[in-house]
Amino acid sequence: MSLRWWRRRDRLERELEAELQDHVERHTADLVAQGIDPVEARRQARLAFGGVEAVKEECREARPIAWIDESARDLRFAWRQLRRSRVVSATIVVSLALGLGGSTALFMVYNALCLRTLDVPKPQELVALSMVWDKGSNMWLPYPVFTHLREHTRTLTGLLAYSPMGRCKVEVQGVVEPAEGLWVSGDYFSTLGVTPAAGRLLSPDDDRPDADVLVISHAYWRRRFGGDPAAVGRTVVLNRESFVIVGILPSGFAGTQVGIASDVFAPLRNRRHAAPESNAWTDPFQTWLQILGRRRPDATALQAQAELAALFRGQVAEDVPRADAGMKEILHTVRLRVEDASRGSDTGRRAQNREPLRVLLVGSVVLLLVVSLNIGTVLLARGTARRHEMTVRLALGAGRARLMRQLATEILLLTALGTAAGLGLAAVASRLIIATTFPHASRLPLSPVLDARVLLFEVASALAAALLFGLVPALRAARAPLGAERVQIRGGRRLSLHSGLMVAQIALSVVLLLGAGLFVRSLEGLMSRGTGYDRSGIVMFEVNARDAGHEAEAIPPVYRRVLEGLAALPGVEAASLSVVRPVEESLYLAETVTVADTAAATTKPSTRAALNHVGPGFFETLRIPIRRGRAIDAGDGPGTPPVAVISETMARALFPGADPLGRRLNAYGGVEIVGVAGDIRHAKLKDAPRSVLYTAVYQHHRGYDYPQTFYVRTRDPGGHREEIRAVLAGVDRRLHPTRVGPLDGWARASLGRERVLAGLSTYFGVLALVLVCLGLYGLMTYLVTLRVPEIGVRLALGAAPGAIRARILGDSARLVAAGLLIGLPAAYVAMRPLGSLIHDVAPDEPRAMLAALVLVALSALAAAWWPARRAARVDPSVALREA
Amino acid sequence: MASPKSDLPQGTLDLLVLKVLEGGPFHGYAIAQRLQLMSRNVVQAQQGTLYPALHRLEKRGLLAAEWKVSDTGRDAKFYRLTRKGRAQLEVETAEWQRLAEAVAAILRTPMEEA
Repeated sequence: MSLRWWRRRDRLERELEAELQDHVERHTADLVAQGIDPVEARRQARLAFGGVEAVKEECREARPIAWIDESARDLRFAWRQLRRSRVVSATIVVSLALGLGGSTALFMVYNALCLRTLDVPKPQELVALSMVWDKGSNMWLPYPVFTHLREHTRTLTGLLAYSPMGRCKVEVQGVVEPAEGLWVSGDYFSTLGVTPAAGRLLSPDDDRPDADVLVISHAYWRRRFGGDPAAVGRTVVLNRESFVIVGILPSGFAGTQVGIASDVFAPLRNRRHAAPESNAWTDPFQTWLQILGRRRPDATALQAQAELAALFRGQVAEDVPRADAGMKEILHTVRLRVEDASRGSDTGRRAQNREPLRVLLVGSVVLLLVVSLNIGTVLLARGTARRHEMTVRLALGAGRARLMRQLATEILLLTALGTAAGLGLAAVASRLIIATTFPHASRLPLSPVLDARVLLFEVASALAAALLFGLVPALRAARAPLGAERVQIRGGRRLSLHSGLMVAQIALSVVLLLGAGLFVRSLEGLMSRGTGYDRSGIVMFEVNARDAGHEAEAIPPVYRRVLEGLAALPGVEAASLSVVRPVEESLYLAETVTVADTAAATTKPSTRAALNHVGPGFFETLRIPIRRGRAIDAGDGPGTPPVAVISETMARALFPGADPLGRRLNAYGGVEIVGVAGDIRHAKLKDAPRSVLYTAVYQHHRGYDYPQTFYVRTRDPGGHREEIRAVLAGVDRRLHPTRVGPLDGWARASLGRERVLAGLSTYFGVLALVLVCLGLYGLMTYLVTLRVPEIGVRLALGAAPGAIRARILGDSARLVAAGLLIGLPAAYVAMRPLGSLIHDVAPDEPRAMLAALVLVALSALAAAWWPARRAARVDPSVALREA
Repeated sequence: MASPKSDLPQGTLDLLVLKVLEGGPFHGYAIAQRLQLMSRNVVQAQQGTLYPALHRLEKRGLLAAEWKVSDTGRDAKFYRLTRKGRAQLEVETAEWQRLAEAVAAILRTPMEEA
């Protein structure tokens, strides 16, 4: 739309005006020449000419000045048409919005998690390093590998390393709030190519033990500091140590981990992270860093892989002599893997959620298909109703192409409205989906952004839907002979297109409902499955004595006093603590544990076991049965011999057929087994029972690195918040409980994926069913209207109204049956690949299928009931008169 | 006495406009006047149909338009026949005459009562 175009359009308009005015002027002049008074002459000339605007409009139609005027006219006309049938138009827009909103919301989440590249320059140059060996892989690497590669690489322009802080506590002006933190190497920001929005970013100079500086993310700056420009230079307390904020990152950058939005970035070598003398910096086998690099523009991925792998092998060769037997085995086959990291490095969140998201996306497309077919039937019916109007317009000289264009404009207008509404819905729904999938995050770890890809997806889906439901009535309109007003009385066969669409919708809704049923059953199954411990009646909270400044030996008395205070509360039956929470996997410790006291010649049995440090009364509070021996009790404290309780699975794995009591294991420098506990689902509701090693929390100082989770068994797990706070404050004013809540609630929230699957699939299924019922109702009503003369004849000839009703119901039953016949095998086929997402239920479970079938059949027949009743109530005399 | 005005079907008006312009370029008002004159007041093209017809013919390429200084001193839009327009005029004239003769022939034949 260049200036020249506008000016041409202006000029043409002015010429048109001038031309017509000229005519009137000449006519006036002629009349004046005939002797008529000038004023009267002008009046006559104007009258003779007629409406100037109308003529202009005709001229514009004859020779379009600009397509935009045409389109504007079409739009105005289309809008008027839509308003004339307000209810139908609104229904179309709403159902389109619901369908598009669902699929776009899912795509926004999928895009944010799996497709979007990092907000850095040239993200395709980024690579991530990991180790693989014949029996496993590890995405964490040791620090010496990092320095070695950084020093010798020639295919990378830079190498960065980071280690997650996890959730940390940041105190700003006395208020403590959780945040996500990252320890980053000096080259982190320069390698990524990020520039600060304010202040400066960390540089290699800051990567020192005594540099207490921080960089914060843009979102965190807005959230915590309200966008205050004076935030740079402020001092905050991070995990009880003071740091100075030196810079703010640009908006859109949230770290390099997928699905985790980092708020604060501190130097990797800072002593708060690990002391300079810690062996983390020198141990070639301690894996705790994620390493990314940026390829040189002229280096290919293969070259980088080859060079880095060679450098890695060179270093490994040097370290082999220092390795123990188990490590030597790994080192034998280990090699470095270099992968593309343009989308950040996956911490498992992407891999876990990709499959359910894809399944839901497919489901949403199926729903959109149902929506389109439904709208198609509505428009078909409306098209038939408007046939009279079309005939008249065609007879009056409107071009067929013009009519088509106007119909198309109406459809596009409906689609545009539905798309806009759908976008709004998607923005809200996507946040809801993310919040439900990642319930343990303090706020959204992913931000669903409306970028070009999402917009393209929505517009493409909308156009595809519009094509589907617009093409159908357009084809029908093109084929129908004009003036064929008389419609045959035998309505059944003539509406084959209409009925076909209905059958298709029914079939698809069966598929969606079956999916919904399976996912809901799966979720319920997971929620109600036995976990080995009693989930109800427990309230949990977290607290860390180190926050209050206590260290090492001072800690056990603190926790003991807390337990005493809790046990003294009214209504509390028992209380205990542990390090690992049962329904959360963010803290998961596992190690290979070997039996220590077998005869020297035999191989020592070993197994990979999950670890937990628990306090006295743990098994009693959670009601985990002790099968043999005893539980950890108050007597197991510092100074007493280290003991352990093992799970049944572990007992079977290490001591098959023998008594494990009294045996020793090599964990934690040597522990004696004093009891065997019943199997539980250790960290997730979906976990299978496994080997678990429980040690006494007061006997191992490493346990105090982590916050402790306290359990309180009480009749009212929802309450006690204030009392808990009071107990903690009573022990030490600096102690604050976090993440307080009933265990059952956490359990439910931990099934984020399953809840999203169940929730959204139910939404799809229910919406499809509602549309099917509305569609069937409309179709049947229309059919009855068509057949009123025939019904009148039948009734007049003595047919019973019940027979008429049965006939109509029979017609709809045939439609429904056809839909079910197609839908059932389709559903069967569609559900097979979902096996991995459904727990405890087989995908082809007959009861679920039966339920879906019955639900669709009943709803559809209920929808057909009213038109059938109306048919039976036809007054024969009125009907015959109208025929 | 006012002669009855006939309503021209759209295609016929186009043909007459082409014929009028055979005589050279004219502006819209002049075309309207000539139509009235040449048909002895039978055909009075309503301005509402004349100008759309002119624009339509221009769009089809049968006429070309140009703004020139007119006798009144003002600028006016003059239409003239293009080569394509001339050819179309010949074709349609022949068609029309064929049709007219056929109709006249039927009308001349006395119909007997059955």
